[in-house]
This record gives sequence, structure tokens and C-alpha cells, in this order.
Amino acid sequence: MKHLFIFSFILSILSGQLDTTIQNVENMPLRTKILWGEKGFFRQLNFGPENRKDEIKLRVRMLQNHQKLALASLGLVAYQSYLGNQMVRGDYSKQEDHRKFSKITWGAYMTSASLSYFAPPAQRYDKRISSMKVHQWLSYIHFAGMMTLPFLGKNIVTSNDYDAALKTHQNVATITITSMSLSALLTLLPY
Amino acid sequence: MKLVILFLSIALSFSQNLDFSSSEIKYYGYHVLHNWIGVSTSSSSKVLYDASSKTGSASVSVRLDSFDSKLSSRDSNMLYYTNAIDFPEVVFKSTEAKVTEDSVYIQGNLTFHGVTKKIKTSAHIQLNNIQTLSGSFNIKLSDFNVKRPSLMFIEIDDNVRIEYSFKSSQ
Repeated sequence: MKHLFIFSFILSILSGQLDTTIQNVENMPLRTKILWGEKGFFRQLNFGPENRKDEIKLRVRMLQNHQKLALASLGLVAYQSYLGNQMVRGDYSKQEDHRKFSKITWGAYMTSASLSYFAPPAQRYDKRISSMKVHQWLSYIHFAGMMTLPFLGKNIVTSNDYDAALKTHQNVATITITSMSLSALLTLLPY
Repeated sequence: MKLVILFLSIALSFSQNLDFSSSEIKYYGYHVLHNWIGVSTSSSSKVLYDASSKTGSASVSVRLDSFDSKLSSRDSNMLYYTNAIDFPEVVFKSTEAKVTEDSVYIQGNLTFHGVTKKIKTSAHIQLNNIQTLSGSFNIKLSDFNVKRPSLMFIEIDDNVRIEYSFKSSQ
């Protein structure tokens, strides 16, 4: 692999072109490796852009849209949190809105997550810990939260222990919204 | 033939090739939410200095993928926005360089993103045992037709500051 990198680097210098080989591919996140690695799922299916230049273009577009949709999702999650808290305080008129918005919020969040998770690989990866790396690690927490919240919400209605089911739903929702907010704040940091 | 050799030996006796073994080129990016610095230590340069006329010439090239801003995702984005696959290098070639005491006034052409623009810069020069050349200048991304990326719906600043520093080993 190292020899291949050196060879392509020398070739790129000779041809005056940018070396499009991904730098430090060993530091690529596992999920990207599974999808876009040398023997990744999308590579096997021959799915995706034809060349690296178009891959990078697609990646930037996907991540720009991820950024916008993630902000909208965070707003929706915050609104859902408000509606949920109103219900806990006894205002059950918000129940229908909470149910309706849960679908919109979930859909927006999952679309945003897909845009990030399925994006083609970056041109360079490194080992050091950065704000974007922590942003990615936090995504595993809020992704897991968003996957379980609809079930935990339904569980409140069907469970024999209402209080315990409500508490679990609330706790997971708090962890999810906190990790999402931190994740958003981290994108504002320079390094 | 003798005349050519004589001419070359005279030319070489006056013109000194400044052999810079280390270099550092930095770009300063600005955004409302944060600023950052990208550093490259692998540029190639050729700087000539004629002590008799106190003039010189310089040509410097640096590959865009050699810049490290301590955030690989930002570096990847930078390569996209600067279209580094088609234009992998930033090249500067001087058209005029005048040395006065410890400073040098340089004028030349900067080629970036396939666009060539005239720039002027004042550099500090030291021609002792350790030769150094350092200075800075500003560019506008819009002058080079570079589309600016945005963070939280706000584009990065059009102005980018470039700082350069070259040093010989002796």
C-alpha cells in the first residue's frame, strides 16, 4: 500500500496533477471504509461517481446539505423536547403535535445522518483528535438515541409501568439532544 | 565558445543562488466563527541575487495538498474549492526584485486556480551565514475565481493572508 502511494505520488508530480490517492487511508473511519474502502460495499457494486474528482464534489455537496439539514433537525428536536415537557406537565393537547412532529424530526434527522454517513471519502485523514472527530463520535450517541426514541415513545402508552417508561424516554431524549447540541457546537471550533 | 564561458563565469560571479533548505508558507483563513492557519513546509524555490546591482529573481511553487490546517476535513474541502485536481500548484514568479539594506521589494505574478495576478510584497532578507527571506502579502479569493465555502450559512472571508519564510541550512 505504501509503495502504491509513493508510486502514485511520483507519477502525479511527473504529470503535474494532484495525487488523488486518499492520504493516510488507514485513519479512515470504519463506516467509510466499509462503504468506500478499497473493497468497500459501494466499490463492489460499482456504485458512485466515476472518478475521484466527482467523488470529492459529491462529498462536499452531501456534507454541505448535511450541515443545513442537521441544524433544522436540531431545531425540530428542541421543539419536540418542548412539546414533550408540556405533556409531562399535564398539557395533553400537545400529544398530537408531538406525535406528528416526531415523524418529521426523525425523517429530517435520518436524511441528514445519511448524507454524512454515506458521503464519499475525504482526500486526507489523520490520527490526531480534532473537533470533527469528536463530532463524529458524538453522532454514534445521538444516532442510537434517535433510533430508540420512537420505540420508547410508544412504550409509554403500552407499558405497565408508565412512570418508568416515561423516565427512560425522557433520559434518552435528554442524552440525544445534549449530544446533538454538542456536536453542532463542535463544528464552530477551528481545530 | 570562450566568449560564452567568459560570460557565464562573469554572470556567476555576480549572481548568487540562495539555496534555501527549509521553507514555511502559511495561509490565514478567516470566518466570523473562527480563524485558522494552513501550513506547508514543502515548497520548492529558486532565488537568485545579484550583489552588484542589488537585484534578484525568485520563483516559488507549492502544492496545495501539502498544506496542513490541523483539520483534515477542512484540508479536503480546500482542495475541492481550489480545484486542486486540475490546478495542483500555486506558483509565484518575480518580475522585479530590488534589495535595499535588509529588505527586498518584490513584484511578480502569482498563479493560483489557473488565474495569474500581479502581486507586490516586501520581504525581510538576511544574507549572512544563514540566509533568510520572509514576508507576507494578501490575496482575495474572488480575484482568483475561487468559490468560497460556507459554515453555518456564512461564507469564509474573501481575504487570505499569505506568509512565507525561507531559510538556508548554513
